[in-house]
Amino acid sequence: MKKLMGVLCLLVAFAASGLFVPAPASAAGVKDTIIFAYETEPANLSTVENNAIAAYYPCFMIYSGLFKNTTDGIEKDLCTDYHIEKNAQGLETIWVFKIREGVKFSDGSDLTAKDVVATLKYAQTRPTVKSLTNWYTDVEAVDDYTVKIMTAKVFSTAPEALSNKACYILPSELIASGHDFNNKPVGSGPFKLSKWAKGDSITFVSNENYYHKDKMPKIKEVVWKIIAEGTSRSIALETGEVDFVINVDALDIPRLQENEDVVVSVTDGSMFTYLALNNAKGPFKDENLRKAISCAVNRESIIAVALENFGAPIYSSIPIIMDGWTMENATTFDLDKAREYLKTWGGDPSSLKFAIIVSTDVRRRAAEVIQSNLLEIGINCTIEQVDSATLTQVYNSGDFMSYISAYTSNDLLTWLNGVFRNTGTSSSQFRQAGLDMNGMIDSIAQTTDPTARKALVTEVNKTINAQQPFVPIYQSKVLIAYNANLEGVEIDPMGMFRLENFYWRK
Amino acid sequence: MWRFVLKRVLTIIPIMLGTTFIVFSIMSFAPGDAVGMLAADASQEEKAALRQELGLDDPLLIQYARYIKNLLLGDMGISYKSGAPVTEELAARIPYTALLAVVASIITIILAIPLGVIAAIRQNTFFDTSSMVFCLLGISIPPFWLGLLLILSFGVKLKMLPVSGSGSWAHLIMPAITQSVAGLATIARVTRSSMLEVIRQDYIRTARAKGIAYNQVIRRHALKNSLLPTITVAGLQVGALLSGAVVTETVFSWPGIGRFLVSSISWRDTPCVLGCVVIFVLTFSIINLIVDILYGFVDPRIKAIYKKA
Amino acid sequence: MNQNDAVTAPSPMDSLELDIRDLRVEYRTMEGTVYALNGIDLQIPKGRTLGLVGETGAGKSTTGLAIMNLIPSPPGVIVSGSIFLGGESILKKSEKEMNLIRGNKVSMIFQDPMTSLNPVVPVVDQIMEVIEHHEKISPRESLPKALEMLEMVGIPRNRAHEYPHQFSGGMKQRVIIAIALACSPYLLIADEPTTALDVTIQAQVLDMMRELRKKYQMSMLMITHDLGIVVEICDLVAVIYDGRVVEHGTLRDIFINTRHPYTEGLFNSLPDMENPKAELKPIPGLMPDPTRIPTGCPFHPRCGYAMDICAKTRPSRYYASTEHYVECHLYDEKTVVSGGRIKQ
Repeated sequence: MKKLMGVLCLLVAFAASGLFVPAPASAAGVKDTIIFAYETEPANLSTVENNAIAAYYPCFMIYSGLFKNTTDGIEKDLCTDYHIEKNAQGLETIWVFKIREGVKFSDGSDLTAKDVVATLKYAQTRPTVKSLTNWYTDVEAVDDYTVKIMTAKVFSTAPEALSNKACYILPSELIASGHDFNNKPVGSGPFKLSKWAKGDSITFVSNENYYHKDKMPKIKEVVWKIIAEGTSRSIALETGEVDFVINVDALDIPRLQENEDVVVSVTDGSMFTYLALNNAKGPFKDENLRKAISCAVNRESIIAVALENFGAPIYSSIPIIMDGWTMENATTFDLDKAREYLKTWGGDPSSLKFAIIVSTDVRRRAAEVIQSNLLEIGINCTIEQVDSATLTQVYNSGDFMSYISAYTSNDLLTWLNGVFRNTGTSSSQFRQAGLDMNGMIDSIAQTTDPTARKALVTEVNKTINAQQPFVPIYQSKVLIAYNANLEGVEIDPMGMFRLENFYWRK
Repeated sequence: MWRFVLKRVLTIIPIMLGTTFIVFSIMSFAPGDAVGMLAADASQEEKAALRQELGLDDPLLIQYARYIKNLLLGDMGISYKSGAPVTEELAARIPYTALLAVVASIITIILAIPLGVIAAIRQNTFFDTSSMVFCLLGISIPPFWLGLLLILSFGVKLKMLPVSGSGSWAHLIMPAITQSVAGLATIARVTRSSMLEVIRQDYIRTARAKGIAYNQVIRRHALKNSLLPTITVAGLQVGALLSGAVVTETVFSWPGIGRFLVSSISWRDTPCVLGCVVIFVLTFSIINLIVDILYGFVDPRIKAIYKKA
Repeated sequence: MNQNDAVTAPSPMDSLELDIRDLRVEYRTMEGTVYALNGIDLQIPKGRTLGLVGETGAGKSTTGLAIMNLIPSPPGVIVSGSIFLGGESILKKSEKEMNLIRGNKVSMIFQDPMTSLNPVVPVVDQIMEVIEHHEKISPRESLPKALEMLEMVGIPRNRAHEYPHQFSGGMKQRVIIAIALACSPYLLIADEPTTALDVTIQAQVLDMMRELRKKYQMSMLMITHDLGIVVEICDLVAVIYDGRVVEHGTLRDIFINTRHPYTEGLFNSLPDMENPKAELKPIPGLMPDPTRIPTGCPFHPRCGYAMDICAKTRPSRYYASTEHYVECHLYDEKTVVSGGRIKQ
């Protein structure tokens, strides 16, 4: 028995030693590794097979595109120059891009116009990112370093669209051979994949083939650790096991702020959270009832209860950071107004029966506040918590009265498309009727002049506000905390950052 | 004996078919699907295309039959979520869960049986009372809370152990303790009560009447007899280790199969969920078989029944 | 043998294998204290067999366990008294010393053979264990001896490695006897060795025990409630009631010159072979609750001859001969010899 136990222990020890990856050892004195903690593991590392935020971070490291989104706006990346040409009808629908010469993929092969063409055509075939790639109709290579992109209509924001990871460049030969980008990504970004220990961590090392010699990452190794539990992430930062935590639990912020070794960054975020109401059927078809609800919802108390005050209330129907944003026609918290709107509606508030469907704990807490707010004007509702797959199913089927969801994008068009575009068989997320959102979105897309465009956005914003298709609630702050010795950290409203700028203070 | 084992191994087949079918049905009837998760913004046509690509628009029975056929050929399918073969996804995680389970089991058994035995032979002493209070706590404390408590004391305050991940033996200590406490408490209690019953048996008196020292009587005569209930519970506890893995793996960010199962369910990643189920059912069946064989080794009366079977 | 000799109690002598004096044992539990043995005296001369007779609960088994020093503690407490085994005081021995005596100098056979063997150990191993322990030899050396023991009790060698569940009750009791005798003890305590067995098997086992007793020349304490067994195997008889010997004597003393009303009651409750039509006269009532012993003579509530004094004082011991004595108010030093009872 004892012998058996001994043998067993030995076997376990032997097996385990194979599992344990030694922690990255940095050369004495100079730290050149960084360990991130993030709550979810990306489904895959492909640019075109998923559209979740979890995949954005690694994709920004591995791949690069013609343009990139920085805190200062859209910048040229693989593209050195571009101009717009007119088509046969005299419309500006042909974009011509010059591609940077001498760029190599991390596998050492050269990046040319051929790869750009192959990538954009391949991306259009992938269902997951279709809404990000349906703006162009054709792509062709003029020469090795020039690419022409044709759009069906005038499309003013091609550089923004090309800065999305779905349009980041992949090697054409690998596309042709059916390469597994999900698990073995190859791109031209500042880093490349070193090891993916599924469920545990993803390790990246700097890409020695990266074209931008001035911007070679100062950090040579990046470990992306998956720590699902919020408090565990904060603790790991406090104990020094990780250097950078994305999505800090709001409850942990005060404690981390007291810690001198940790920098807490609270920035305004673009994650736009709203209460969706079904505009197509049932009592919420009536805009007065929708407005009554919007007036009854106390955003400030939701932010206090659900977000520990790390959020900003929103009343207007597009994100506040967008150029052209306006409060005009927007409803605010006002119980008297709410009762007025109820009167105009004319129905009996106590006859309303509906459930607010939510998929996360934070949103459940928000729904609980809304529930008590609505009680003030005599409306009873219930709360139903489901998982996110169920919620997706619910809003796709249109079989709902109300739910809480959120959407984020730096780019207004992407945002409007994601939230409001009617995609044929399925209408927008809350099935608004009476608004030709597609026409409005297209007209913004086709307006290249910035002033005209801003005016148009304001007009669209006003129009949507007047209809109150949904109830905007809050934009949560982006909560990030990191080791105080880390420099060069800049975080954009989506919570994104460019790792190649990070470095350790000596 | 071998016929008994063979019979038991064959019963795994219907169990496997039954469980995979049930889980497959639940996954299919659950609201939402992987396509909604992968491409929430896509249009209906695009989603339909993706569904067709994943084979999700075939009739359920055909999908299930295809799964079973491939399973028999050793192919567990492709993960909807990651696009990687399920076998690869599982292979990356099973070793971690297995390591944690084996280490937790070793801790459990090494500590629980002596604890239960000593508590029984020193019934109503301070040792007995305190260890039973410990066991009561062990059973009642939620593993999640225990895990956080360990993290706060050994990780944050004392800075002795790493708080998350799986890089070294030190990383294993706290998850293994968290995993083993409930089982340890249960097995110690069962061992104690079974031992208390056994030491009142006539054959223990017979053995003492031979002049054998009490400790030796316990070791030679009481232990083996008291092990039957312990083995049963220990077998069940291994099952509990698999289900408890979800919580422990989440608290300690241990990259095992429990967390993978939960995330696969929320992604409606049916091939991965079924893969986990297949592994769980296999493990369960094998452990049950081992438990039954152990019964035979411990008790010749049960062995005789197996021989007849 | 004169009367004066009889009045003085015999002193511990070398010729006594077992000498128990004034032994008191209590079981102290939450529900109350059970007075199991209340000053019992027992002597067994070397080579002789004493039958310890009494109803269930009279303290017979406790006596056996006390000799083995195996009274479960807690709750059992030996309050006072002494036990000498071959001249050595058992109660003064350490546990370690006791372990050299148990199974070696004194062995015990327990009542229920069905549960007295370890179900998960082959029978031969259970015999080898006691041999190895006391003779300090290896399993290889002990195996032939154990097989020999098994053959002696009538179990074929080829069944030696079987488990208890493969044996019948009688065979199990034979195995237990083999274990008890394996180290040739000086004293064998047999606690109702045949109660759980069929009548035919009982006879076989008893025959065997008688033979083995002769072969090993050992003393024996036969604990039983069956007077038939007493007749077959015992030289001396002690009738025990409520943890105390109420009448003691040779087989003849007890069976022919019965003195104590309780002993009489025991005989009356047996069917009469010569007069099968005679009515059975069981002793009325039950053994007293051992937590609340009646004052005076504990038997008086059930005794047909009870007098006033019986409820007040414990009767003294009266010797009819050196071996035959009785504790009853019906007698005094004189009448006890003749058997004449004091009339009320």
